[in-house]
Order: sequence, then C-alpha cells, then structure tokens
Amino acid sequence: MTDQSRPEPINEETVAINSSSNQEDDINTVSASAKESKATHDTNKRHPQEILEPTESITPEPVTTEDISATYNNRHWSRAFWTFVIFAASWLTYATTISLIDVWKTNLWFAIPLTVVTSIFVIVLVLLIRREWRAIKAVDSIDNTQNQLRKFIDEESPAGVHNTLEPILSGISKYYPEEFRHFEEARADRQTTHEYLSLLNNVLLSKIDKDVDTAIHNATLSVSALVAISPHPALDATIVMIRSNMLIRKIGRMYGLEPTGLASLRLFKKTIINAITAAGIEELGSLLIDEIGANMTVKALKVLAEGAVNARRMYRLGHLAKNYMRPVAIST
Amino acid sequence: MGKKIKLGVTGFSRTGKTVFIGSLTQALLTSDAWVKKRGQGPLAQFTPFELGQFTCGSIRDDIHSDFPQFPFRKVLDSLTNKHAKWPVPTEGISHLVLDLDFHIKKKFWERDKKIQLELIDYPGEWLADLPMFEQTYDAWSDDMLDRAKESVRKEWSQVYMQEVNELDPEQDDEGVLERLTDIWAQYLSTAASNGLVFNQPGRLLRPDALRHSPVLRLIPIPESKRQSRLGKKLQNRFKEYQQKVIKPFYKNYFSKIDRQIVLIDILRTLELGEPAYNELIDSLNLILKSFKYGKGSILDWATGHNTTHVLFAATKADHVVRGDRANLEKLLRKIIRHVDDRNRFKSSVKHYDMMEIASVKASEDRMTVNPPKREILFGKPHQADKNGAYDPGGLPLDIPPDWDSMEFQFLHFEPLSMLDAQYDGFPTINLGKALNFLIGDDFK
Repeated sequence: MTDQSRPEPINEETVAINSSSNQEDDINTVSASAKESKATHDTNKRHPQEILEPTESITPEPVTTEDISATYNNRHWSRAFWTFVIFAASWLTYATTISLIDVWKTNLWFAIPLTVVTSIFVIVLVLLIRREWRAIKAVDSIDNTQNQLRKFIDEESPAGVHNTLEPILSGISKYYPEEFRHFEEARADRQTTHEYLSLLNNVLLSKIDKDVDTAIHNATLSVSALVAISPHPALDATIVMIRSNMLIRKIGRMYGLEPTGLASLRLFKKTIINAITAAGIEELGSLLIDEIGANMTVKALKVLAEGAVNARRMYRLGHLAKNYMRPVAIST
Repeated sequence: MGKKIKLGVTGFSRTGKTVFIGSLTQALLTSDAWVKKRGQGPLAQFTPFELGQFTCGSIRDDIHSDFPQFPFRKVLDSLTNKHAKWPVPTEGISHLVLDLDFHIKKKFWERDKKIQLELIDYPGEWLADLPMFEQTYDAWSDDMLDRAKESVRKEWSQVYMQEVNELDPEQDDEGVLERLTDIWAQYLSTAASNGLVFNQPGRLLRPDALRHSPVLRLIPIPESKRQSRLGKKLQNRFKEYQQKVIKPFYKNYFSKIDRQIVLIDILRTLELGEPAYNELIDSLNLILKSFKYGKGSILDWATGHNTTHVLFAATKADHVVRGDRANLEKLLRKIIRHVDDRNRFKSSVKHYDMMEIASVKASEDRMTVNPPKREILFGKPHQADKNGAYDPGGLPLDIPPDWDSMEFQFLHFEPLSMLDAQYDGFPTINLGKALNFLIGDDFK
C-alpha cells in the first residue's frame, strides 16, 4: 500500500505553520499518519473479521494510590461529620435569621448595619468555602491527574497529556511567567509525548524543582535551628507542624496547585498517606532515624540531635511532598 | 582536561555529512542567541542546553593543526550567502575539534567543565571500501563482476566487460592497466551518479592525495585470467590497497569513534528505485560489520569496541510535510530492520536510536488557507526560478514498496536565504535531539 501523490506547485493562498497554530490539529495530523502507517505494517496472514461475542480486557487495571488510600476512608465518620456540619449550619442560619427579624422589629437603626455586616460575613464565608472547595478538589485530583497522564503517555497522545496538565500549567504560569512562555513557544514543535515531557521537564519543571529544593533546604535549616533553641517538646511539635504546613503549601503553589489553608492540610495528609502506601521502606528509614536520634539524645549533644532529627524529617517530608505534587513524576 | 568524544559522522556520498557537521558546529557556536528562548532554535531538545548547563562551544585550532581542518567557514558562507547553495562535495578528509563548555550545579558545589568533541568529514565514497578489508582479491573480484552484471549496472559496465574479456592477461603493461582503471572508474562514476552506493574501490571516485598513484590502478578481472602475470600483480595491488589505503583510513578515523551517526537518504533511494534500495541495504549491512560496537564495559574498552551510541538518521526530513515525518522515521526503522535482520548489531551496541533529521531546513512548513486545509512546503526546488508553495507528495508506507506500481518522486529543495544563520544558527529538524542522544549523557 502506498500513500503517494506527486509533487506539485500550490497556487492557492498559504499560511506559515508556527507555534501559534493549533497544536492539537497538528498532533492529530501526525497521529493519523502514524496510525495509517501502523495499519499497513500488519503482515499477519489472518483475515480481518468482526468479533461479535462479548470481550474483556486481559490487562488488569493498575492499582493506584487512590485505590489504596480509599481503604483508609471511614464512610460512617465522614457521613457523621458532614451531617453535623449541615446541622450546625442550618441552626446557625435559622438563629441568625430569627435574630435579624427580631432586630428589624424592635430597632431599625441597629437592624440596617447588622444586616449589612451579616450579609458581608455570609458572602465572604461563601467565597472562602468556594475557594477552599476548589483547592481541595485540585488536591484530590492529583492522583486522578497522574492516572490520566499515565494513560495518555501509554497511548502516545501529546494532546491528551497537554489537556490533562492544562489546569496545573495555568497555575504555574502565574508564578513562572517567563519559563511558561518559553515552554508555550516551543511546544508546537514537540510531536511525541516523550518530546513534550522532555520540554516540560527541561524548560519549566527543572527551574521549579530548583526553587522547591531551595524552599526545602531553607525550611530544614529553620526547623533545626528553632527546635534546637525551643525550651519545650510541645513547642517543638508545634514548630514542626506549622513549618511543615507552610512548606507543603509553598511547594503546592510552585507546582500550580494554589492550596489554601484547609487544602494544604489535606495535601499534608495525602502526602503522608501516599508516602506510606507507596513505599514501606520510608517507614523503615524513619525508624532508623528515630533510633539514631534516640542514641544521640543520651549523649551530650541531645539538643543538636533533636534539631538534626527534626530537620531530617522536614527534609524528607519536603521531598515526599515534591514527589507527590510534581505534575510529572520524575521517573517519567 | 575534559572528556574527549570522537563522533563518527557516517554516510554514503550526498547524504549530508558536510552539512550536518557545518550546521552542528554553527548551532554550538551560536547557542547564546537562544538562551532567552530555551526549547527553541537549532539546539532544541538538547537537554544540557534546555537545562541551561551548556554554556558555549568554541573551535580548537591547536589540535590536529597538521591535518586539514573542516572548511567550516566555506560551508557557512555557502549556506548563508544571499544566493545560498549546498556546499560542494567533500574531496578529502578533514577534522574539526570543538570545546563544549558547560557547568554543573550540585547541592553543595558548582563546577565548570569541558567536553572535547571531534568531528571528522570524509568523502562518502570511501566508506564503501571498508568491507574490502576482510576480503581476498579473488572474492572481491567475483563480487564486483557479479554486481556489474546485475540489473541497471549491466548497461553501464558493458564497455569495461568487453575490454576486460579481450584483455591479454600475460601483457604486463601499466598503461593497459591505467586505461582499464579509467574505464572502471567511469562505470563507477555513472553508478554513483545514479544513486548506487557500493562502488569499489571508492578512492577511484574521490582519490584526493592519491590521484594518479599506482595503488589506485585496481580492477576486478574474471577468474580465468587471475593466474596470469596481470592477475598476480592485481592480487598484490589489492593487498597494497588494503594496507596502504583502507587500513590507515579505518585505523585513524573509524576504529576509535565513541559515538556514531549514520546518515541515510531514504527519499533519494526510493526515488532511484529498487536497485538503489537493494544496494543500500546490502552496503549498510556490510559496512556496519566493519565498526566495533560495544556496551561500554571494561572488556569492550580493552578490546577497542568503543562505539556505545549509534544513531541512524533519515536525512531530508524538511523535504516532506510535518505529518509525514513520523512516517519517514518509521520507514527508517523498517529499513534498519532489513539491514540488521538478525539483531547482531542491536545486541552489540549499548544505545541505538533512529530519527528523522534535517541539518539545515531548506523549506518552511506551511498550510493551505482554504478548506480542505493541508500541509505543504514553501521553498525553492532545484531548477525552480523562485520560492513557492509545493505539495511534496506522500511517502510510500511499506518497505520495500511495490516497485512496479510506485513512481516516487520528491522535490530537491535548495537552501533558503538564511542571512540570520550567521548569528542564530540554521533552522533544523531534530538536530538538537540527535546531539542529545549522542552526547547528552556526557554532560555530568
């Protein structure tokens, strides 16, 4: 089979193909040609025929971290929590409305400012909840994004990979506009998923990785110093928790997730669960560190050892968060 | 003192070795023009450049200063001229040594490092001589005469066959030998101009410093005449050719190459038809056996099997539309499958890859405006008066194609006027990607 046409001059109007052209169309053109080529490659003697009986996939679906983490969910507690939230919100709304009606009946001068303040509060609260909700959704979609990415990489679909990463890239573009511009300008020429991901890694993510490493380094140093001078273990724990949350939030922002307060806590939780389920060896490493720390604490350098152990924990947490939140896993 | 890498640019004549070396050198010298546009330019997909590790390249004039240097300036002038044209074919061997400066940044330290990249240009015709090194005169003679009687070669070799059949083998006259060598060279030249690549002795086509030397008076004669005085003389001359011409060429330039790029002009071969295709497959098969590929182990290093990375590149990717470039790569993969059908080569080398490239992009990718939209090329085909938009035609999707029904033609584009290439390097397709495969790992 041939796909031939003779060379010929074109007399109609033409336009240059460049980075501003629709990359998806370009990619589809290539993919179509590639698929056609693949079809002709088949030299099997069997004749093609339609299969009418039911079929199923012989390749099992890969087990994802989402599946594993799902086993940790307790649906009953979740239901109870959300029921309580709805219950409290309903009563609060009811009580506030009744109180406002009473005020309107008794004193008009108090009623107007109180209604305005209440309305502003409700609007701000709704906006905050909406923002938190979106941020939590974005955090929850990390696993899904990774699964989608894996699927499109297997299917050799650069357009699919790009569409999956688009929301994250849009977040990244706010903090890294120049690098993002370089990436956008060059991506039209990348026609395979490997080329696309190489460009993403080299031009955009490598710069973010460096900044994330610097952030982890700084957080590690500050935690080790603060814990070393902290007078009480409870304060140590507080410092580590606050600093960890700040670090995770920062890393999330750099990788285009824009986590808010609650979302960053959720990110923290997911990072830990992901790390535990992904690699049991991490727990072993943690135990070893504790062991080393415990041995050191009985020695003269107790304070420094505590600082060092906490710093080590912070460092590892930072890198776990980095591996979890990086849009494209380092191994790909 | 940095790491030294010898890059063997391999390919038959007119596959674009000179243009590849010229364009690569210019890309490395002008990389700073693209620092603000990483991911674009001639070094796009060269990871050390995209990561900002690669600083700059510079030409070393002090190394191999007693050998001919690659005529970089001439190649550059030829391509960046207002009336740009492809460089003239290479007549002899030449070197170019480049220093590639880069820096690496680790957690606690930062270092500036250097890689010394040596590129060698030579006439592609000489490559065909490599399999002769393993042969005897008798075997070579039989092979050459058998080939000369095959398909299209038969017509071009008629004069030589007639002369050699009428030859008196007891007549030990150097003048007769010289005359027959000229006729043989004429036949080889006709075969080469028609795209056939297995023309031995290759030095007859590009003699360089050996022009008129007796060692080049080497021709095949029929078995019945080999026991004569002339036969004995030719046998000795064959050995002399092996020892004085092929061996030094191989030993000095090919035996120590660390990385290799094999340039293959698939479009021209398809256009020339079945004989050219069959000969390309045969020749590549024989020539690849001449190189020492290795896995990078200590044993390989000790036995001289240094070549660890081999890249097969289908040239003239700019002569097909973007949608067909993936097909060009697929054709290349199928061709290499035929060349190395026993995976002997693949199992002996550490890394190999295949891709389509254009060292200098001679056309511009465009798309028609009116529906149905289609990709076309804008450029100046050979013998056209001016630049224009062209549909370059489609590629055959099967290899080998159905030669009887296929009438493949492609447009031979002349280079576009590229005055900016003096400062920005040449527009290319996959040059950086090729470089990344060949030496990207060494920037550590």
